[in-house]
Amino acid sequence: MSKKYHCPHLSRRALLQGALGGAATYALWPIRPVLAQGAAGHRFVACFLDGGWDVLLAGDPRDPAGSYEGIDLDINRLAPEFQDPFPVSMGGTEQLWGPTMQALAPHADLATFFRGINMNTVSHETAKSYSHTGRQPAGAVAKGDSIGTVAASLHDQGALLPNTAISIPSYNRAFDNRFSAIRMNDPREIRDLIGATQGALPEGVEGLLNQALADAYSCISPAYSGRLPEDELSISRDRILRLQEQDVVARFDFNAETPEMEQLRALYPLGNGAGRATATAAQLLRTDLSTAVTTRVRGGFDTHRGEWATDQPLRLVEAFEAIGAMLTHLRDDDPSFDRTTVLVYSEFARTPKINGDGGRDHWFADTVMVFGSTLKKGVFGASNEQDLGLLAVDPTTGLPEEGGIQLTPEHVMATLVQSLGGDPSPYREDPLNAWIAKELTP
Amino acid sequence: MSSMKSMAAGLGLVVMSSVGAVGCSNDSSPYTDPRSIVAPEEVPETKRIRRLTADQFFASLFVATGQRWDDEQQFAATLGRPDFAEVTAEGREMSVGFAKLAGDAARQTCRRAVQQDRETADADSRVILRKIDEVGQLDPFDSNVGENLRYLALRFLGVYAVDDEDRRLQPWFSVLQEGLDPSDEARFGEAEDRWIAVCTGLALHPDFLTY
Repeated sequence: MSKKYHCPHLSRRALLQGALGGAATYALWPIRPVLAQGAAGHRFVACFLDGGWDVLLAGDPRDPAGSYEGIDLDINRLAPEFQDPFPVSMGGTEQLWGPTMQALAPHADLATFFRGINMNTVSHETAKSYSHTGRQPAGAVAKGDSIGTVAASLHDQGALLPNTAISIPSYNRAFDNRFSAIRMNDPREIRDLIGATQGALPEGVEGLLNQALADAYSCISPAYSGRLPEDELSISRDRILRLQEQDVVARFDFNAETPEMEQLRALYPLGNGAGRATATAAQLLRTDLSTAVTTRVRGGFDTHRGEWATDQPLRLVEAFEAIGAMLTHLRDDDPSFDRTTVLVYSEFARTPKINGDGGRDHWFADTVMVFGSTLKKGVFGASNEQDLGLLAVDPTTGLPEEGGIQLTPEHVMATLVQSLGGDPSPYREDPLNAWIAKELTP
Repeated sequence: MSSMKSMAAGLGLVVMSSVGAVGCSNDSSPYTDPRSIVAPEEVPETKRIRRLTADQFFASLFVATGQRWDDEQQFAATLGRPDFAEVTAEGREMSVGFAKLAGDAARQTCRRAVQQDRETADADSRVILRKIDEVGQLDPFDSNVGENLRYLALRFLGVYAVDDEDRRLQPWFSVLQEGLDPSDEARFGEAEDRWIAVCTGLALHPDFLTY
């Protein structure tokens, strides 16, 4: 009787082991060790400010000394420190940056801004799907791939979590499943995802469990072509074990009394969610756990009422301080961002006119900021100086020109993706080639 | 024999001429049947692997083990539950994150289920150890182990195994018995953990988690 309890199906096991060996090869190739120093892959971070930011206080301000027919600057309602934009040199020309952006000023040498982008909607849901993917959604449903997914697919070199999304949806329509984002609802969950198994069984029993899962026959698998569910699960288990073996979770314990964490606490505003989000994003890249990270840095920008005057600038400052800290941190091992690109965006802007409740409503002329080395530095595009409206621009110079193009998210994404070495054709707009400083090789 | 060959040749000619007539074409290029069998590796990868949604997973685990995972609500969004404001689609993709959290959930619920079963005298009220006679001192070589594994395969995976020789049961026999001597008292030591491992393994099985 006991004889039958010993697994007699060696041929089946051998077959499975062969298949799983292939899966493991896929998972391990090419191996880039966790915590490797000086890894060569290009890193990408997308920072999302949720709710629709006021670009007049940020990336597309106006000089308060001027008068604007269609814009209420309403600076008297703002705290003194938020009344005056400041000049910054970008690509050899002087540009105004909003008063909330002081924390980003040290990184102006890496900055490319796209102004006057037509979001073509003032619906949060539609604009979010549009801004995350750079492709016009179907209603509010995203049609394209998140830019983080595209970046991960281009430059992943075997990271354990190639694409990570923190507090934000991520889309993968066209790429392999391994580039789908690992989602976290909160940046603190990273420790649950890469930490020790909760309620782990004794080591020997865990080993038997893993072996049984490797040997288990699946009735579902014949329904699939390509990679099988057991392969996917096996790859995931393998990655979890490797994460646990590396004990990399300590690199995300921001309260730990270690020299590295002391440095991070000094650098980042870790007392708020924005700081935790960007610190987690940077650590995911610096530990080589991820190639691309998309994070919602902060929400609360949807200020339709009187709180616009107080909350909007404070929240922008909080977000930009967190992003500025992350830029500083990432420049520590990549000073010129030769292998780093950071995108900062929101789903749309806010109206140039103050509404009857003392706030600003939704506005379609948006700004996107890129910090990196693949694009020409400076400002491409413009909104109408007098009313923050849309303007046609020359696709080469980016300056206003009648008969030029109307800048859209498709143009921005096609340009960014082309510079990262990807295929811009899904965006169905020509990249702004004159603004590509260099094209990376995937 | 030669007459048979002649008949075959004649039939061949008839068939060929019929095909030519039906095809109404003078094209002499060979006809390729689009229904021809394609090797599995040549089949385009059109079907993405889809797993249970977060709520389906929680509900399935509860039905299978009788226990709820403590962290369901904390990790629901991370496991793909939409908020129907910004995210309207259920997360159904396999990932490291899903595998890790599903493993944590399975271990917790299975541990509770097995420990509760060991305190339940009425066998029919047990969830995991329903067919095991003696739950006070679990024996991995209990004569009803096979029957209990068949019951669990049916409960978790919808698999009806006729007897203990079924290859789908063998990995679970190994979890319970590998490295143990049926006559050695030491076999009782890890029996509870090994039953928890069986339960956990079934809850992490592709047939439990995927469509």
